[in-house]
Amino acid sequence: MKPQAVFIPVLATLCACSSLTIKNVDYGWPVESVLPVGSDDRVEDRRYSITFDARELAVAEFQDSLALKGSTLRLLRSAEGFYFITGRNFKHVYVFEQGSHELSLMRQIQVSQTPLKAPALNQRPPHVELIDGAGLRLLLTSGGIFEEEKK
Amino acid sequence: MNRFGLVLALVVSTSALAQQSDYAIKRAFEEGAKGLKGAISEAASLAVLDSLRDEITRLENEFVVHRDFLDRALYPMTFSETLAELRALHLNHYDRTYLTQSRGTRITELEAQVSLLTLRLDSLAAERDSLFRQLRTARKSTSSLRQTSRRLSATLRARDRLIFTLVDSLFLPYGKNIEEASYLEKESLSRRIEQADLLGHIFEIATDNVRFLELTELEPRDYAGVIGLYQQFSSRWEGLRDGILEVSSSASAVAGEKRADEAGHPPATAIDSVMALWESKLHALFWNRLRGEFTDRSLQLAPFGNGAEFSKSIEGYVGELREQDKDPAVFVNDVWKLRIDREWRSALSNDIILGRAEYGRLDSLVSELAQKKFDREFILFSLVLLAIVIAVWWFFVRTPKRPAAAQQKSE
Repeated sequence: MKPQAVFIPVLATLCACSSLTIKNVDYGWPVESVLPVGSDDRVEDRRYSITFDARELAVAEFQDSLALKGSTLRLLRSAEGFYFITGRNFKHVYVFEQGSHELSLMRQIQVSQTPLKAPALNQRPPHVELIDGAGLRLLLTSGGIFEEEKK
Repeated sequence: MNRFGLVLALVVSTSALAQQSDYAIKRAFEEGAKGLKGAISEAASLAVLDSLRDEITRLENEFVVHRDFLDRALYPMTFSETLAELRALHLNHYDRTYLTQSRGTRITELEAQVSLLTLRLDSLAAERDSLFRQLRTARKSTSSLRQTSRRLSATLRARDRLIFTLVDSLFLPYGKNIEEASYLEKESLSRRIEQADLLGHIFEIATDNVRFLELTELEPRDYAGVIGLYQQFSSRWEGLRDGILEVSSSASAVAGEKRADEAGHPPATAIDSVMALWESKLHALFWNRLRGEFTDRSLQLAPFGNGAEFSKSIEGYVGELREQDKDPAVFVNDVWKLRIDREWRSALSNDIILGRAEYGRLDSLVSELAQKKFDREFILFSLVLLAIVIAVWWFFVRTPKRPAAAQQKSE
């Protein structure tokens, strides 16, 4: 038997394995998690088993690595699998993509000129809804603000 | 009621937020359910519990529009499961409060009585231990042995009486028909039975009675009392057994609690075994001792080990005496009349041994044997007496009379 006769089917199988994709996965959480930032600046969600350090987020939003200590963050995973994070006094919603031991910033969406007072994230597939009291309601996607794009 | 007020406030206040923040809806429902749980647990009257039942319905109606969302958002329970848990808790507490209100006073009194009886049982157990020790060491003197044995017997009887007073105190508030009691009543009774260690005490008392039989040598007259004690204890246990099992199984099934034996208490089957041992030992000692009454006087009766065999043996021996025309004096007078009828009749007349009617029948049978001998002696005596009378009469008749003419002449 020629070496090519063995090699080609094996290669074909490997290629087939690497291209296996499960479609229509819904990563969406039914409700946002409201998580305290601990004294060590770490955030932990026990229900969804995710833990991360909030210092870099604090630097990005407030230019102060300790600004989030003792505060709460609102975290919601969209149906696509992106993490939307915001909090009180934030002007942005941060959209992160999950990587190997990391969350990579996909987009920093400016949602207000003034700090948010009581923000909340709702799952509204295919969007994520941001509300701030009765005054603000925005539909967000991983690419930005949906309504603004529509306009 | 402050907590209850807080629950209402939370439910009302979240109505406004309900259309905005999903998290707020979830939290409001969770806080509402938590507040109601607390309010139910703290409620001390049926009136409060009635209003809380309405509040559960109000909470359900308030959030039912979010059912799908809450089913997903609540974790680990769903919307329906949370409400079902609340309703189960409410029902449980309602029944408990009802029981306490309706029978509370009586139960409190009886609980105090149960505590007192348990204490007295424990103190009698200490006395019993001391008497058992004395019984082992007092073997030298017969009189002291007898005295210790009597004191021990009295202590055991007192414990028997106490345990069933304890049983009455435990069961009384729930009425006689325990099967019809609610599962909460059964649970409550089961807890009291465990607290009083009822099965433990019954097991201990039955075991003590077996030990007592092993260590003491009873006099014939003592057997009637000992048999009566066994009979009474056994019938009370039979009556109690089903009730305890009914209560224990229902309560365990509902509450998911440990079974009696798992909790360290002896199971009912262990008590059954000790009762069987008590009965067999009692019977063995009794019939062995009774056989001794005959063998001690060298009477060769057929061996017996129970009532039926005893009857057969006596009938056989009476028949043998008749057939062989033997002198029944020892059997009838020395053994039956002096020993059996005087010392053993009371025990033999007990239904679990021989029964009154059967004893009467055997006694007549033996008495007929004595009667037959009596008749024979009487006839003999009568014949001898008649012979003497005839002899005397003949003596006077043959005495020669003086002639009437000579008599007149002398006058």
